[in-house]
Amino acid sequence: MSDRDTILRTLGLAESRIRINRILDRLAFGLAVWTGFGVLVKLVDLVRPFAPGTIRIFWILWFLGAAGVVVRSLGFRRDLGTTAREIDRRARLEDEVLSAWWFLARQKDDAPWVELHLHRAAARIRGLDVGSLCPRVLPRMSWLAAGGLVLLVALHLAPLPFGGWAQSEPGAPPDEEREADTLMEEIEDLLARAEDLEPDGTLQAFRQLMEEIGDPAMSLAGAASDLEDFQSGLDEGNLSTLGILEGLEDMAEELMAASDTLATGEALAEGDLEGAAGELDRLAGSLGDGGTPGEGLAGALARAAEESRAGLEALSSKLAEAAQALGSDDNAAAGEALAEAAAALSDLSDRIDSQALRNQASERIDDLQEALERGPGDAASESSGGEQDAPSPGEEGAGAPQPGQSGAGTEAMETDASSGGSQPSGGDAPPPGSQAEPGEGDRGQPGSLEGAAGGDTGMIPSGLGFSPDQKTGQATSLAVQLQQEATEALPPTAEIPPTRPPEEEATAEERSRLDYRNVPSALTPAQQELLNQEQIPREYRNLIRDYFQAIRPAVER
Amino acid sequence: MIAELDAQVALFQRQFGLVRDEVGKVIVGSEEIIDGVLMGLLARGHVLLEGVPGLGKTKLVQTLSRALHLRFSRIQFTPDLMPADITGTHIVQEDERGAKFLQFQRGPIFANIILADEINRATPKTQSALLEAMQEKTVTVGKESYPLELPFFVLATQNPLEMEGTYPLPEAQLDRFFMKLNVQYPTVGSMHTILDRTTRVEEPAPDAVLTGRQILEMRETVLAIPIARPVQEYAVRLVLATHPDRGEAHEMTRRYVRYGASPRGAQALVLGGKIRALLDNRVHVSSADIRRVAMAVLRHRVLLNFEGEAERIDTDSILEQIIRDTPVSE
Repeated sequence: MSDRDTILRTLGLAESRIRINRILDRLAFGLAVWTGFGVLVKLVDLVRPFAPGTIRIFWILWFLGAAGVVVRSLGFRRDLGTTAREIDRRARLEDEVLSAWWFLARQKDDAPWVELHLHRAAARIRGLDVGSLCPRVLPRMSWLAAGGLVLLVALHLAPLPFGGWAQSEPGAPPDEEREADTLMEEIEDLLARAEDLEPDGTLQAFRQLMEEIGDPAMSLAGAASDLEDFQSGLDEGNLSTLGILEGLEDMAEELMAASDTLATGEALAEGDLEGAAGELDRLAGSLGDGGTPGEGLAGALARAAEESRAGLEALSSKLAEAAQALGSDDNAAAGEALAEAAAALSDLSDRIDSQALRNQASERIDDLQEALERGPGDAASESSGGEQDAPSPGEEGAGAPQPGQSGAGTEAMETDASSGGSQPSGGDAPPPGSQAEPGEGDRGQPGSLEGAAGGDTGMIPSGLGFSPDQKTGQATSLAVQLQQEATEALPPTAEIPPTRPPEEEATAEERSRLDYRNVPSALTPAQQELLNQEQIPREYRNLIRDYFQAIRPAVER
Repeated sequence: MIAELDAQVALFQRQFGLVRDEVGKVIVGSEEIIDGVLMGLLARGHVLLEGVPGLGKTKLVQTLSRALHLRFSRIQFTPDLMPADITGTHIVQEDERGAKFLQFQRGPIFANIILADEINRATPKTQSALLEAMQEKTVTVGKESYPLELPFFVLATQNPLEMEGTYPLPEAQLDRFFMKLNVQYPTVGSMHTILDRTTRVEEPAPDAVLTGRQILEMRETVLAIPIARPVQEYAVRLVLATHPDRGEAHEMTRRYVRYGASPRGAQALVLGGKIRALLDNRVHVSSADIRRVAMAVLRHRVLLNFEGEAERIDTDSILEQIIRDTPVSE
């Protein structure tokens, strides 16, 4: 390699190493300063939290600035002359390499003395170790930058005991806001599933309502009012559903009277509408294929058809048609009518399932209202250990018992059981052991009523809504009054089936010491629907609450 | 070719060392001064030595002349010294036939090494008699010019201006000196050596080790040394920093300097740098070489203004700050 090549190659190598070091140095310095600035802002944010928008803008600017530092650092260039001067300085070469570079790059002079200088410079450069002369070093500032980044991340994520952002990222929505979002998604999902079963436009209405609520101009009271109206709309279906279920039970009894429809009746009695529809369909097929109807089938169908309710018109009509066709020995027509009845029954099944989903959505709307009305302080106190689920004054209806149901605590338990335990706030379930108090789970007992009243005041020390003093004593006629008043929300007493599951009767009369949560439910889906507190029409909840307040003992008031 | 040049550099160093050693036999503790004088000789310049009487200025020049096979001439400058006493004059002569004619009688300036002793004791008019000889290497008397034999080297000594009976040298004359060297008091150790050598029966005597031709060859070697533009730019920046009306002027320059160094000063910087490089066995000039000669080369070329004179600002202190604050690279 010639002297000139040696000099230029060494210069290029050194330039590369110096440039990389310088880039790292500048990068580390820039990032250290920039990270320090971020840490400073973060510390200020600790003491006086910034608005989420401010923090968002800061982070955008911070990242842009950091990117600028990186780009500026990467754009660093230097010529070989500067590198030559740097080599001279580090190797104490008295401008030898600088002069050589200049003679090579600029002067192009091949005078003998220049050649002599280049020869000497090349010999000197060959003796240099560029690696040790220009070592790759990690700049000290890089440690500072790394430390700053770690500190920034730690401050950003560590659950510190102070500062509003300790529990959440700056700019992230607060807990109640996230909870509301989750609830909205759940409600939308439930309504979508209900819409699949029975399209009625509630999903679209809910989405529109959410958009309206999302409008900053919408007040909290306005949002609550709109949600309540929407919820009332969802609950409206309960009345007809209740009537349908009762009608179906009556029909089931009638159908069980005939051997051909015994299976259908049993399925209906168990609330298995799809199964009942299948049985009817099978019977229709049998008749259509020329089968002979059993004895009493026409009568059973006719009596079942007479048990019509609102919502059961189609089914009753088809059953009546089938009965009439059987009466006129037209088995094929009877078969067709029964097939149509099966289809109507299947539709009813979808409708009931759809209403159940809407009821769940209605429950979530309650929670949503609660989340929207709760302030950040409430959320913090709740999340920091407030496991008691004290209802807010605006949701006392949630604590109102159904006729024949227990107080707030029981209600919460059964709601959990029916909805698969998917209550969003984890404070609903009373602690184990608090359920075994005498009278706690009794429906219609004074303790239960006081529990509801306690829920109204928000003071539920044990999660059940009454104190031990209130639980003791004999049952008074208040239970009877409660029964009478509460049944106003239900269909006429005459229409209630006289036969109740013996388990319920026993529970009403005895005070079980068993933790009812561990007792598997033997209720039919229809009965569970009846026991669902959400079936209480919303317009009656205030009435029930007023009633409980009115019958509260004078001492309590 | 490279080997020849290497040998040339080695010869230069050896010859320089020979003269230095010979002068060093007599002159003690003034190595910097000896080097400066030799550099002036090899750079085709002249040197001004300044110091109080008794520091060996004249002795130095005498010793140098003995170490070189050159004709030496001493001129003692006094207030009544006339220019013709230096350059020579026409005198009336009579030929064999008795006809009279004017013949130029050469003055003491017609020598290779001139000692202008206590040059500032002569009047400026007489001092100026050296101007043409120092720059053009010729002497013009009447209508005739007489070339001076090369090498021609003027070594002037002067007493500090505070001394009585001195005349400041004209600016043009000052600029023609390659260097101005301040002769300092010797150290205690050097004093003992001086006493040991000069108070005995036998005084050391230098041998003549260089001829005029060899000196001229050494001058050629100096001129052949290349200098890179970045280093030369540094020399230029140093010179420009002494100009109060330039943008590159130093703050001290703006405040205290009336006139800065001329381009002749920049030439002196580069030539001095080249000699330094050769003495250091290098064939390239470095910025450090420029720095090392800057003080001696520039100190007599920077003229203070009234404020500087009034505040008794030392030119050396201004130059120190300029050298310190002027970056090697832009």
